[in-house]
Amino acid sequence: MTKNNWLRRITRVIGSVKLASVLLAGLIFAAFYASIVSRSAFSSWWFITLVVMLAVNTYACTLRQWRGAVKRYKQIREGRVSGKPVTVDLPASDPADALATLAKLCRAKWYAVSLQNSRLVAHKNAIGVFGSALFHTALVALIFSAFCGVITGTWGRFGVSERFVFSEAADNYVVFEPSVFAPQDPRRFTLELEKLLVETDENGRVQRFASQVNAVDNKGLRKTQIIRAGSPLVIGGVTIYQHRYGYSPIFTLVLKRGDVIDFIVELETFGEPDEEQEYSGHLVVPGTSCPGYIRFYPGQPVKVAVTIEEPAEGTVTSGVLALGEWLEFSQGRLYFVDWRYWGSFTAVGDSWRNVTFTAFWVALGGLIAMYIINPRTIRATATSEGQVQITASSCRFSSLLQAEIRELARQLQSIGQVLT
Amino acid sequence: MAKLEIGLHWLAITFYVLGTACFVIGIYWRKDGLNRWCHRLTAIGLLPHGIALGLRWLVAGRIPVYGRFEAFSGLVWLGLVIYFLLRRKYEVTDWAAIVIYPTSILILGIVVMSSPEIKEVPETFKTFWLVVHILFAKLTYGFNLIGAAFAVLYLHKLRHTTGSAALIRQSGVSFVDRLPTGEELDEWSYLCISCGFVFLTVMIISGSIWANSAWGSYWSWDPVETWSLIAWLVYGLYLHLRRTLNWRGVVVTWIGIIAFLLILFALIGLGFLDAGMHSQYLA
Repeated sequence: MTKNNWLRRITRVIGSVKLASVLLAGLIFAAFYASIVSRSAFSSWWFITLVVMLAVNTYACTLRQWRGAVKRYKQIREGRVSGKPVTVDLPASDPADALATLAKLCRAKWYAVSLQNSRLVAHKNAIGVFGSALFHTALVALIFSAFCGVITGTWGRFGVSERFVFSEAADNYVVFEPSVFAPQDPRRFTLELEKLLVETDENGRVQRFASQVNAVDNKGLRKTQIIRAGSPLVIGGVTIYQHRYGYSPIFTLVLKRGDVIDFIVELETFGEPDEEQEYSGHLVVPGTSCPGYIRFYPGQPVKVAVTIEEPAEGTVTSGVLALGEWLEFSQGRLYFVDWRYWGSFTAVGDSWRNVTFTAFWVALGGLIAMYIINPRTIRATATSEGQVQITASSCRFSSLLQAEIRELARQLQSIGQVLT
Repeated sequence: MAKLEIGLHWLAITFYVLGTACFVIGIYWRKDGLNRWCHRLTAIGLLPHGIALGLRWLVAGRIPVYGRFEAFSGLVWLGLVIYFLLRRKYEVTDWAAIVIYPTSILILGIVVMSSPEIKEVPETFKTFWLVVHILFAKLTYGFNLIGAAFAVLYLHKLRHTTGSAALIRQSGVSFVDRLPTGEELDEWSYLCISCGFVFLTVMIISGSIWANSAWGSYWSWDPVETWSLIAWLVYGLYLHLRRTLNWRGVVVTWIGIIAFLLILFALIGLGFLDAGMHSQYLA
């Protein structure tokens, strides 16, 4: 066997629909397993290998599909479709006239019609033959761009309190920390949360929230914008989304040994912030290493419940504090001095995003062309025996074609062109 | 207002149950008059059901799609409307009622047992993509339900017209004989599933775009996302086997039915388990 034959055979196997079906079945079981047993399996090597294999198979299939689609497109324009034909013989007093009327009816149904020598050829939706090839091409592009986006992009989440000065950023800006998912350092901007805007209804339930921020990119370009859901900020090649918000109670700790420490605790909400939620979290009391627990009540007046454990003393001290109140424990006093809103943001740097987005839409268009736009042809002949013979074919759904031909026959009958 | 809404739902259920009873009696005891009434009664039931949803829209001041009560009720209503629209044009779809009506009643049963409290919509839900995503979720349910109904009828027909069952059965008198041909049932199942597959794809894509604009991520392996993807893959397998490899018969039909059960699980079942990001929408 020659080298070319081997290559052709391998390409045929790699691009076969049978292999695609086996891979699809494999991916179904893999996804089934991953969703029930362990979600981490979605990022495992064998799951990614399956996806890549399916993408390679789809790519090989697609190459062949385009060639076939062009051939089928030409055939349909000539009035030939390989689908199961629907045939009707209609007796007519004047077959040639009936054929002319049929041509008119077909044109009204958006068919391209040619009528010559008592022979009618009509076709519609020829473009639909490209649907499958288009869909699969876009699918390959989608997987490829998503893969590239994950490899080359950055993704991270960070939190920042209103007007808060971070000790490590003396210029009043928060430095974005890359997440474990993004090995690259995406320090392409700094961001200050100037104000978190929260709108509530008459019952105090949150209607909307947004963040007024000042951002500066790595070239020193300053941008002031309100980030809200669906309206992110783009700066330094990074898109910043409002994720959720929470509360940051601010404390002053006065220790008996004379130290005074100011600190802030960021309490993240779970789920969407308009629900009744717990704004709570653990803390380590600075300067003492005592573990503690905080629960924040954002109602009127604002209160915070604090629990401090002192394992060395074997005591647990707790109390509910309003603004300005303090909690006394063995090593000092903890004052609840103020509170601020706290915003959580997601930062995404993905230069492949536009390709992914476009591939989404192209895939959808291909799918619609594939299943909704059904290519079909009608051929009709006026015979010398006083009959109009109609033969119609469609790529798919012959039931719908049957209904259409029945409707055409009924219309011809109703205008007296053919006999019942 | 909640009592009125529940009352209207019960009224709709009553009509749907009466319609289903008429359908079953009409088919098995061959009473054609009852058959006609079955669809009329169900269509009448759509009225109080639609009014209940309209009232909810009015009171909540937003499209009623949030929370189990609204989401499932809308799913059933739109599913039935799709069915009636198809039925108007294609008579053959009459038969699918034997699966569609009981399924609708069961889901409405969940609706009347869930809390009718109006829930506040979070900020991230106030977007155009919500309407697209949810509308196509309902269309997916509607078309795939009809597809699954035809698949069930096809299997029933196949079971009673092949092998020993065909020999012992008296020809020309039973429900099976009055069904359309096996080929026609199979084709209608394929047709509805194909449309449903397109809608499912739009649902997944619009959900991804929405997630991206709201949270900066197209995909997060949320349980509903994952199970919708599994259903999509199963439908993809069905369509490849059916269309490209030209498979017909029991195996491929069962794959179509399993895919629909996965859709039901993703859209309804997960609301009772861990639905991740969708938990507020389905709870």
